[in-house]
Amino acid sequence: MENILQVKNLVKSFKDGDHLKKVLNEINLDIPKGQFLSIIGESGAGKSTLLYQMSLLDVPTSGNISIFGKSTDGMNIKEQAKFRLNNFGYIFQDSSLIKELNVLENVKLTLLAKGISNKKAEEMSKETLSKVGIGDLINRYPSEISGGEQQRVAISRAIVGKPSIVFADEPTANLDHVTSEKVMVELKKISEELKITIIMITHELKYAQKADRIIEISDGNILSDSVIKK
Amino acid sequence: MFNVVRTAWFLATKYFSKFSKWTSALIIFVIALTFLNLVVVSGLLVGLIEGSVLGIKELRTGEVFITPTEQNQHIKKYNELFSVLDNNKNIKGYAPRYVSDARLYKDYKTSIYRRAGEVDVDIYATVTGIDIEKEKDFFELDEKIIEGRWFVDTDVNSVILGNRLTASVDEELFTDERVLGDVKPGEIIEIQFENNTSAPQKFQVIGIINSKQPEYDYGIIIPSRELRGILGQSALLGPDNIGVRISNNVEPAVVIDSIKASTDSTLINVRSAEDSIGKYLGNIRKTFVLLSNALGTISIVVVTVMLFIVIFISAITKQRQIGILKGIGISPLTLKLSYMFLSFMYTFVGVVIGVLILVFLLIPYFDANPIDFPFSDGILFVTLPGLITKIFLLFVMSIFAGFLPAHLITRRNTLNTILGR
Ligand SMILES: Nc1ncnc2c1ncn2[C@@H]1O[C@H](COP(=O)(O)OP(=O)(O)OP(=O)(O)O)[C@@H](O)[C@H]1O
Ligand SMILES: [Mg+2]
Repeated sequence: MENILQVKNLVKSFKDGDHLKKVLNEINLDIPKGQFLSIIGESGAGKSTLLYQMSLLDVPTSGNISIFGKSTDGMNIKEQAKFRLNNFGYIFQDSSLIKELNVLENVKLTLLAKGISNKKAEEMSKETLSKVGIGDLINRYPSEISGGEQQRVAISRAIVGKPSIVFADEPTANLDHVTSEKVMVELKKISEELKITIIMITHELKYAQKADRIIEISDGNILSDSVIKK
Repeated sequence: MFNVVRTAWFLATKYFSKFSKWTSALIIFVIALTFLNLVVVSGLLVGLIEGSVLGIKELRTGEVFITPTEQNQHIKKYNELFSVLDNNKNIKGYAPRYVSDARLYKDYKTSIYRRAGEVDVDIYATVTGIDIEKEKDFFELDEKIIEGRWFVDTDVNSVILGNRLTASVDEELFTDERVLGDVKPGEIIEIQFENNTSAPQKFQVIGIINSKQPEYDYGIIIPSRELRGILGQSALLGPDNIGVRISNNVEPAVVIDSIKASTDSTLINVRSAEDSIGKYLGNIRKTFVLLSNALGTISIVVVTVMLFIVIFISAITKQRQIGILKGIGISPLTLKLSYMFLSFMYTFVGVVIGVLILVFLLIPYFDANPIDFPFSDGILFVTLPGLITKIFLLFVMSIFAGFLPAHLITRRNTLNTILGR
């Protein structure tokens, strides 16, 4: 299958006092289109750092990331932002909703930025919100809904524009088990029904196992890479 | 670009409607006050001068003012001049005045205004001989009578006294001035005219005038037919000035040119009201404009800083949110514009409230209650171009105060702001 995202010899170092600390050590990774990939590993292993590089929120120290077979090396900040808007969806760990916007407006915001008409944007947003089971909350503000509901709004926002890849950094970290379960069900559904590529970091093995493939990171290296048999 | 503006506007309206109500009210209040400060302070300062110019024009000079040239004490060949004025279709009317000096006496045995060692009260004053009909018709001088009445045709030996010569003015301000005492209409004063060697003549005061024109308020007014009778030959030398009223839709310059064309420029000066008032008021006006500009600049700076701080703090507390928005692909320009629009909305509402207060409260108020200054009725002088300039300045200010703080926040590293580092 065709690779949607390719990581080649990816290195990321941070200044630690007066020497450089390598957080990612020559990572190589191919992610096929439509795959649901989960990344596990202990705290400080470099999972988030890897995700930020792949999702163009950060710039690698060396190495290369290609998306749709095209290197992202030469992109400037503006191009990156546009690329993220048009191709990526993000689900962050904590609530990342805009508190001045209600649920519907939070979801439709990126559609407006893409130039979709307000009417169409609202239609698409409502449809997506219903799909993740919170179609009745569209007029609530983020402060008026639960953490799990907020995450489902975040999921809606991430997928409403039909992105190629959704990045999720511990989307269930702050949720209880029941709610986490619901969020995972939604992610799984997205992967299966919409065929969106999902790259998700998690601490919980049982959630990782919902994915098609698990990679484990340790100390900046890929420790294991396994495909889940269905 | 359209998407950027649209998304920014969408965000701004949400920020605006979700901003703390009290903070919003306060910001809008301060902006409205700043606007009023800009308009009203300068409007009143300049209004003092404008009011004074207006008063001079309405009561004395008219749109066109004719005076003798420096070499001449009086307007010569005035009969020819009168017929030139009479035949000019653009002239509604004119009023010639004959000015003389006189010494006034009043009630010298009982006056409390007598100074130590003085046996009687006497003061020097200007006498203006006027055409009672023309002053009434074209300059409405009769409306400035505060006690008593205006002249009628049958009046003999009657004068109108300037209120500055009576005791009813604030003596604190004018301790060095001599006044006649508390003269009431009906009382008799004695006048000895300049170049008139006979004994002082008795006149009845029929009215007191308060026109805020020193020529009248510090003098006495008498019908010119009477003055001519008293002074005989000397008054026939000619009027000392002529105030000319012109038709509404005619430029003074047009009338001036046509008068000049048919008269002798070595005998008379023909000038617009503004030119004849001279540099003095113009200089005060400049000073006032400068002063109000200085005050206005300060208030603009203050309001800019205030808005800047409000927006900056609001943006700083939303740093993570801004990071997330950038993260999901909303361009920094969109975010900067959204804060600019937010600041713009505050300014807009503030200015609208300010304009409403100005138009429906302050302007009618000052029109109905002009500020009572010794030399003029202070009006609130507001011009449309002036108003537009100030509104424009406020909007420029708001763009700056909204864009800059957002710029400072959005240029921070996206990931760092999302992660709060
Ligand atoms: N901006 C930075 N400057 C310096 N060190 C950093 C920076 N970002 C990350 N690190 C370090 O890099 C290492 C990996 O961090 P990362 O956030 O990728 O870990 P993680 O695997 O996501 O851990 P967790 O499960 O706790 O989220 C850590 O040791 C962290 O301290
Ligand atoms: Mg992490």
